Amino acid sequence: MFLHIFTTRLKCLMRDFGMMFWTALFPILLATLFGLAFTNLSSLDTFKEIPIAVVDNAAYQMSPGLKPALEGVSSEGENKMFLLTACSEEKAAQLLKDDKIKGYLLPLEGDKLRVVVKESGISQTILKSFADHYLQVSSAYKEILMQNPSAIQALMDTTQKDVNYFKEVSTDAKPDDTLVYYFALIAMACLYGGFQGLKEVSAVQANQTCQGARVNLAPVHKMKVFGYSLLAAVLIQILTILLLICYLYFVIGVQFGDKLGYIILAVVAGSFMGVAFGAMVGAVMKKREGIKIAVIIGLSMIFSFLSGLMFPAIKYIVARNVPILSYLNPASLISDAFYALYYYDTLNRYFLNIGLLFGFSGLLFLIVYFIMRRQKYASL
Amino acid sequence: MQVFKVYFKVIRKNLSIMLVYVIIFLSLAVMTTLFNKPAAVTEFSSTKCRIAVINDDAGAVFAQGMENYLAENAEIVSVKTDKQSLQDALFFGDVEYILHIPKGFSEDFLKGGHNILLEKTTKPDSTAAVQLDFLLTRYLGLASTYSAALPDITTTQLITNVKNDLKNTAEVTLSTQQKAVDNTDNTFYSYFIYLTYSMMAVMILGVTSIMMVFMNSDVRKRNMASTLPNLSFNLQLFLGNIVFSVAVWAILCGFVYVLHPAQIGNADMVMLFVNSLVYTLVCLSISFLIGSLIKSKNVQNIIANVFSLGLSFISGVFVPQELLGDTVTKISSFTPTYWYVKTILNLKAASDTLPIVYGILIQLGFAAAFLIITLVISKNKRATNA
Repeated sequence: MFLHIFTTRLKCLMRDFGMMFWTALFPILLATLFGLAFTNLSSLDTFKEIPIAVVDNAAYQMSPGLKPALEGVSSEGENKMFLLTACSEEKAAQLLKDDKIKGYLLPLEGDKLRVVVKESGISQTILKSFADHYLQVSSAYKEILMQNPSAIQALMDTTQKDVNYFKEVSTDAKPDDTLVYYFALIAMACLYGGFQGLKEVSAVQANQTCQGARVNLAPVHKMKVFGYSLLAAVLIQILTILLLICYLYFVIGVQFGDKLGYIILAVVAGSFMGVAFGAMVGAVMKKREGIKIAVIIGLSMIFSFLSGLMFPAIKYIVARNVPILSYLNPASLISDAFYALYYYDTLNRYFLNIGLLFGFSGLLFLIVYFIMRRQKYASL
Repeated sequence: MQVFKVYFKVIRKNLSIMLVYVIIFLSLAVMTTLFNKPAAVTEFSSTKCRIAVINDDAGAVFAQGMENYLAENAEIVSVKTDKQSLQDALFFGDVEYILHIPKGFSEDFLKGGHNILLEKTTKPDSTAAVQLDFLLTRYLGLASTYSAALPDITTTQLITNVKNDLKNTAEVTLSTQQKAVDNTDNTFYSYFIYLTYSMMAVMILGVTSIMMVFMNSDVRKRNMASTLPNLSFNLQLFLGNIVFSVAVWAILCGFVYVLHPAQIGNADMVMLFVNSLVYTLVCLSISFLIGSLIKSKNVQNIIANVFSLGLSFISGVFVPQELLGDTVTKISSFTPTYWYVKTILNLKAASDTLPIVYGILIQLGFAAAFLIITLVISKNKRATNA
């Protein structure tokens, strides 16, 4: 019986080629777009020099350190940060208005410095950072020279040294936010298996499809009919997700860690969860197909959102403020399982998530079974 | 006007579905606005870096001074010091920066040795961690300058001096076109940016659900056999779609006042509304095109997701536009979403009106283009369908 139901449902699913095509293609398309959007994030070493200006007023001429400092970072060499123009205040304001510079420095009386910008952004922050640094170092120098005027020689020696005070010690793998996106994408793709689950349940319910009515007449135990059909859906879903993972790994280059067997186990768990989720919606809601589909879309998007699909920060906000939610949210469970596999060297967290996934799927299947068990219809 | 009336009958029948979509995507937009502080690329951010400090050199005054300085400039989170807890803390985002001060660091540092280094572990994508790095490097730089130039200085005096020096910062002025630096005033721009995804999703899902009813082949054939002229049929459908779009636009955009009630009088809002209305029209044309092509409900929602999510990602909705690569920007500038987001960013930066007008015109151009394509395709379909 198993073979018969299983293979028949497999054939049914595979015949709906349009649906399979799109379910497989959609996450791959999205992954490609992610890959495109992120290409620049990890390679921010293309640093373009920032065009700025400095107001050539009396304070600027009189300031002992500002001119050499600015020229030091604006001339050719590996320290070059800025493209500097020295001009009058009106001209600087005009350059800023015309977007020719990102900001300008206005030296003031008493060796103070003002930074004028048009908006907030990385370049403006760098400019302000430079200004702050200059003010702080000159304040330190003044203090030192006040206490010990002969220290000027020692000061000259220490100026240009670029000392490194840090040693980067990483844990085995670094937490990586772009991975959160990709793993949340895998989770969303798994949850989209819900449509398959919904389809299977509809095919078995007499009031949803004619086929369901015929199936109900057959002398086969409901659990078997329903169980085997769902297994067929899970198999298709597993294959789809495996395809997605291969694409992510080989084409996009996402790091999953190296424990292949566990990755596949995670895929299986995720697929079960997705199909069970859809089956649950299908069995519990007694409305039209359109509404059930809307609910599946809505819930999947909300779950995926909470697991960090649109921006990773939400994942941490949830984990810090409502940790129970990250254990109840199927998308979080799936994406965290992959993330834990990549990040940790022990498997505790991974198995916790996988266990929860299988547990929830089993629970949902049972609920669906009990709902569908003795369904009787007064009329169809 | 029968087709028009039927359009609304179909909506009424599907009202619960429409409501589900509107509510869900509206809540997504709202939640994104509330929780996504866009990658704080400016120093003007108020979020302090969360750091765990493991001070093995606690006896030394200098290390203690460093720890106090960190406490003032970052949020120190206490974490158990075993490896697992530290890993967990980074994993769950409890901390973004772990600093380990090895034993003997202070003594070595003050002698100018630089043999013992501070050990740090940072979360790579955290700008707060990068800023804290800067601060620490400056602190240490100043401290080493002092200790080299004034060998007899006491550590306490050194720490005080460094702290005083670090209090010097440059004033920042925004040039004449004043826009509030304070982030809280500006988040309503962000709401309109995040609306991109929701608007597109709701429009595609809503319009295609209705269009599929009309495109059902039996219904179509009966309609084509009727005496109602094709032009009238299409015009009425279009009118129905416009009313639907305006209703969706009103709900989604009007919600900004719920989030930011203080902004009612803001002049920029008018432009933002105009911009979003134009964008709604663009979404409508795209949905119209998709609606006349697809038949199955499953394909419908997958396409809706691909378009809404995909376009949003490459146009700089979730990843800010300034962080996107050049190739991506070139590709996405062929999509209307990119121009919508760009217009909002231009409005935020208070540029001249010309780029803003261009942005809106380009979106209108896209809308018209999609509409024409739809009409051509439906004419072809009509020809071959018989």
